[in-house]
Amino acid sequence: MPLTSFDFQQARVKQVLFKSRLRSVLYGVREAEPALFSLAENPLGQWLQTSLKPQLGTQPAVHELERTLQQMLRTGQDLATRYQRGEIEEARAGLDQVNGYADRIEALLHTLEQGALA
Amino acid sequence: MAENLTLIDYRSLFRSLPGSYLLLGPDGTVLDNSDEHVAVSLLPRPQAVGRNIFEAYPSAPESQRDLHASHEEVRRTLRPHTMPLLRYDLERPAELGGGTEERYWQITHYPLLDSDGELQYILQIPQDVTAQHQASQQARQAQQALDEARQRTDFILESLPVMVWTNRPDGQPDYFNPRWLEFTGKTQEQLLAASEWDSLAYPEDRAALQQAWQEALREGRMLQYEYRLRRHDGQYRWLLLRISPRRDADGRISMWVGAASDIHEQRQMVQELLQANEQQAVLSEQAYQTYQQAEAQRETYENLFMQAPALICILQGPNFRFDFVNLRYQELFQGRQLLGLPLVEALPELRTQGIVELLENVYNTGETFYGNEVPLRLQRTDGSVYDGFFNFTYQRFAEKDTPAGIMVFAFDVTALVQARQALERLRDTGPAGFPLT
Repeated sequence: MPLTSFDFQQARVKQVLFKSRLRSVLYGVREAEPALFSLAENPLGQWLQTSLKPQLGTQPAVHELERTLQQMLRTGQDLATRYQRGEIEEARAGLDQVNGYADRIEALLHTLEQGALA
Repeated sequence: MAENLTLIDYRSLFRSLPGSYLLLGPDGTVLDNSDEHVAVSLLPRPQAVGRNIFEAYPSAPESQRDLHASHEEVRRTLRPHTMPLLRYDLERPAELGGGTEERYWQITHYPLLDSDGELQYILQIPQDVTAQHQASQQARQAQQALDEARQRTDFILESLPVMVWTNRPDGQPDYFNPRWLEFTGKTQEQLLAASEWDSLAYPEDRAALQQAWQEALREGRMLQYEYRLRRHDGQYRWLLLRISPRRDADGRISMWVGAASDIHEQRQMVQELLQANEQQAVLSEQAYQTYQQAEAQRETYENLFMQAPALICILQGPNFRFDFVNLRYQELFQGRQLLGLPLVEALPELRTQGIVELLENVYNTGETFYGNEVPLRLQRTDGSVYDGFFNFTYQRFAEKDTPAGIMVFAFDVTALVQARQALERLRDTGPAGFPLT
């Protein structure tokens, strides 16, 4: 089935969910289980594999999206480690970096969406 | 022995005595002074001796007045008189730059009486205490500055919207700012009492907090920690604390300074946001699944309709715009453009054949129309016409309870009608050569 704006909306919801989960870890609201930072188990990562790649896998933006997502997950994991080490304020300040990756992902999703719906 | 005594030069002895002495007549005339006095008074002896003390050593009127009062006291009582600290500035000789020199003195006047008990001399022993006085003034200023700095610090600590406290190098707390007292509803003394601050921690958080603090204390490093603290109303609130060691010039820890802020609301917001986002993700997934199912069903039905051995089309809205045509329907009209066009635009020849009126009636009344072997003349792209007969239904459908369009379901029965008509013609005329009667 070709991708619709519904699919991209799904991706955005998943992206926000990751940020929210990470923030919860850095505020001690939930545990930092390893699955949170695994590309294979990340909801946006799964969407990338099962929805985006089969349709638009050849586009360079898809590969950049995957790379950026991986960087965002790695950064998130580093922040969670810092939080666990007691560097609480430093870890929270690092959410800025994650926001930077999230903005990039959003821009890539927008580009891909425009292309897919054109 | 007596000879030796007569040989003593009392004048030079007096002058060289260690100490500052000024010998005055009962009226205040300078009679003599010691060498030390010459030095501190900044005036050579010849310029002083024989003159009145106030002429010899002029100074500010109030200073002279106080000194004079002390002389009067001695003359009146014939007893020694010690003055309170006296400021008596001296004129600086021209060779030392001129002007006056600020001087503070501790002065005692001793009456020296003759054999009749009459006042013979007044001995002044002045002690120049300028340096001590200035030192004590500086010390007082330093103390004032220190007090000011302390008050300033206290004010800052009391005004800060965070809980601030300090610990001694051994970890024992020695100060809690008013925010702490407000928050916990305890007094400074209660909090300073052994481990009171710790006993206010949420029971489950207490052991880990103590462990983290003891480690930080042992290693002498800054600690950040989140835990729940009991507020004065009994509610436990999440705090973020940060405590750092202060080191002196030798690198030894001289104190610990801690600050804690209430992050309860912030934490709750993060939690609520997480719940909202988790739910949104679930809802969004469900909506997506539903959408995919609906889409799959729609495709199935579309395929069924598309392949059905009947003529099927969907006319949308009051203009009867072709929204869907299946293969058989499109075949009937060969290559003519149907989809997206209103009926009368796509098939103008139907305008005169009563079809539009039929459709409007169905659309307005909702009554299904059943047509039986209805003849229709259709235009072909090659310019020819096709005269056909059709069985069909016009059925209105609704979306959200309002009329949305008409579904057309038809069979081309031309061949059947033509066959029957042929049979009827045959029956009327009878087989060639065989009269019916």
